Amino acid sequence: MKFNSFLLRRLSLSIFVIFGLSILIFVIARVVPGEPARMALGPQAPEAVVQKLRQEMHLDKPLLEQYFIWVKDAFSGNFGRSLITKRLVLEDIKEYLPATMELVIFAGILMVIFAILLGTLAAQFKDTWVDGLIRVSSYFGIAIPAFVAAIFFMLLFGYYWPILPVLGRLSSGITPPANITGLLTLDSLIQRNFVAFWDAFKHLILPSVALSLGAIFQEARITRSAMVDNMRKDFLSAERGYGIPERVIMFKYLLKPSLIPTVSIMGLDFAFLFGNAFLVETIFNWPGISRYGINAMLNKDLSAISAVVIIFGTIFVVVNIIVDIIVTFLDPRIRLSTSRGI
Amino acid sequence: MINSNLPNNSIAISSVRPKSMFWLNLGKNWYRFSRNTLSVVGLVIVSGIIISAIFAPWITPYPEHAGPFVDFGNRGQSPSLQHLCGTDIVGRDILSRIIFAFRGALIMAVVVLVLAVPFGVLLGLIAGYFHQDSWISIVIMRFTDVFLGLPPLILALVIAAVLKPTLMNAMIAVTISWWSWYTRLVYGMASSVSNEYFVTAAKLKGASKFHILFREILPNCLSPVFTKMALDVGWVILIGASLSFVGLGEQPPTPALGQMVSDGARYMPTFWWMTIFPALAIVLAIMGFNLMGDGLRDMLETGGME
Repeated sequence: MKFNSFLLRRLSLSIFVIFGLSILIFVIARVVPGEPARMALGPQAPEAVVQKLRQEMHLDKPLLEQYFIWVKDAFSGNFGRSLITKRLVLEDIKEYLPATMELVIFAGILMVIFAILLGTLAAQFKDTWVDGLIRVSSYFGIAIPAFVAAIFFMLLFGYYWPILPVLGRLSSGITPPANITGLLTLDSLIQRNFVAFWDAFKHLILPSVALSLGAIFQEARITRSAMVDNMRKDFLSAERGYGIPERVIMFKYLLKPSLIPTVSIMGLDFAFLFGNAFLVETIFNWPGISRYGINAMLNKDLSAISAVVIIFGTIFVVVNIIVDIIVTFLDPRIRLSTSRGI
Repeated sequence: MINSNLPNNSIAISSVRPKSMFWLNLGKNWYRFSRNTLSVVGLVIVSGIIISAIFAPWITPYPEHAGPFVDFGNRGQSPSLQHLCGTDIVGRDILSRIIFAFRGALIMAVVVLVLAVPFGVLLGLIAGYFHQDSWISIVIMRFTDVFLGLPPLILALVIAAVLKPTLMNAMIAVTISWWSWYTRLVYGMASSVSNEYFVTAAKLKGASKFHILFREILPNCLSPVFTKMALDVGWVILIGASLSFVGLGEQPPTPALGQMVSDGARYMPTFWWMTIFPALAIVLAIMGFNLMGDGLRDMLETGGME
C-alpha cells in the first residue's frame, strides 16, 4: 500500500513532466524558428509549395490549436514526414531506435558491473596501490568526454591495432538475424546464430565502452566513498560480534546500503549515456536514433527533431522511475518516509 | 571565487556564516585546500588555461593563425620545435589555435554560469522558502522538473539546432539547459534552512521577506553552489565542445575545441595530431576544473562550520 501510493505519486509527476516537455518541444520546434515551413523547404522553394506545407502542418491555425493537433498526432504516433529520409518519422524511429537501445543498454550494463566492481575493490583495498590506481584512472576517466574516447578508440583500434571493428553494427559478410526485438545480439542469440552474435557483440564493445567510461568511474568513486563510510558503522562490528560470516556481511550488510547513492544518481548517468550517444553514434557510424537525430538537427528537420526529443524525454522519465523504484527497494527509510506523507 | 561585499567583518562577527568566514580564514582555507596536492595541480592547470587564454595574442607563437589564415606550404606538418602540436590541413599552428579556442570556451563558461546560476538559485530559493505545498513552490518546481526531464546535452543540441549556429546561440542553448540543476540544488537546501530557528527568529523580529531570503537563507546555501560552479566550468566547456563538434557553435575560421577535433578526425590516422591535441586540451581543461572543484568542496564543505 505504502509502495503503491509512492508509485502513484511518482507516475503522476512523470506524466506531468512529459506533458510539460511536449509544450517545451513545441515551443522550440514550432515557435522559435519563426517560419518552420519556409525553413523546411529552403529559401528557393516557390511560395505556393510553402503555402501548401503550411496548411499540411496546420501552421495557418492559432498557436493553441496547433499545439493540440501536434499533441494528438504525436500520441497516435504520427510525427509527420521526415525531410531527409522522405519517410514517415515513425517508420524511421522503428528502424533506428533498437540500435540505440542496444548500445545504451549494453553501456548501462557495463556501467553497473564495472562501477560496482571497481568501487568495491577500491574500498576493500583502501589506501593501497589498488585504490590509488583506481583513483588516478578515475580522474582521467571522468575527464575524458565520450566523443574524445570514441576518437581515441577509432585511432587506436581502427588503424594501429585492428582487433575490434570500429564502424557499424555488423560486418558486411554476415547475414543479419531475422528482426524480432531489433537488438542484434539478442535476436541472434534467440535464433542460435552464434556467428552473428559474436560479430554483433564485437561491434558493440568499443562504442559502449566509449559511452560508459565517464559514468563507470564516477559511479565507482561514489560506491567507494559510500562503502568506506559504511565500513566505520557500528552495525558492522555488531554483526561481526554475532559471528556472521565475513562474506555475508560484505554483500548483505555492507554492499547493499552502500549502493543507495550509486543507484540514486544512476538516473543522471543514464541521461549522460543518452546525451553522449548522439556524438558516439555519429563517430562510430552506428545506425541509431541519435545519429538520425543529429542529422535531423543539422538539416533543421523539425518533425524528426521533435519526435526524437519526445522519445528521449519519455525514455529518460521512465528510466528515472525505475531508478526510484530500485532505490526504494534498497533503502527501507524511503519506503517508510513516503508512508508518512513526507 | 566571486565575493562582492568585501567589507563584511561586522556581519561575520555578529553571526557565524561560512561564507563570510572565508575571507577571515584565508590562511586556514588555503591550508585546507592545499592539503590535497591534486587540488593544487587543478588550480595550476586552471590558472595556466585562464592566463594563456587572456594573453593569447602575446604568448601564442602564431597569433595570426587563429583566423582566416592559409599557408599551404606548411600544411600537415607533424609536431616539431616550430609547431609544438603540428599544423592543420591549411598550415595553421595547432597550439596557437588551441589557446585561442580556450578563449571562446572560457567566455562561454562564464556567460552560461553568470546567466544560469543567479536565475536557478533565485527560483530555488523562492521555492524552498515557501512551503512545499504552496502554489508558488509547486509551480516553480514543476516548471524546473520539465527542464530536468531531458538530458542537458540533448536539450542544448535541440535549441542550438533551431537557432543559427553561432557562439552566442550555443551559449543561450547551454544556459537554458543548465539553470534547472541549480534550482534543484538550492531548493533542497533552502527548504531545510528555512525550518531553522534563526529563520523563525528573524520572522518573529519582523524581518522582511527580502531580508530573510537574501540575508538569512541565501548565505547558508552558497558553498555548494560555489563548488558546483567550479566543477561546472569543466562541464560547460565539455558541452560547448560537444556542440561545436557537431558544427553547432563557433564557426570556422574562428577556432573551437570541438570543431578542431571533428575537422582533424577526417584526416586520421596520418595526421593524428590534428585531432589528438585539441582532444587532449579538452581533457586537460575538464580535469583541471574537476580537481580544483574537488579541492574547493573539501575546503568549503568539510570545515566551513568549525
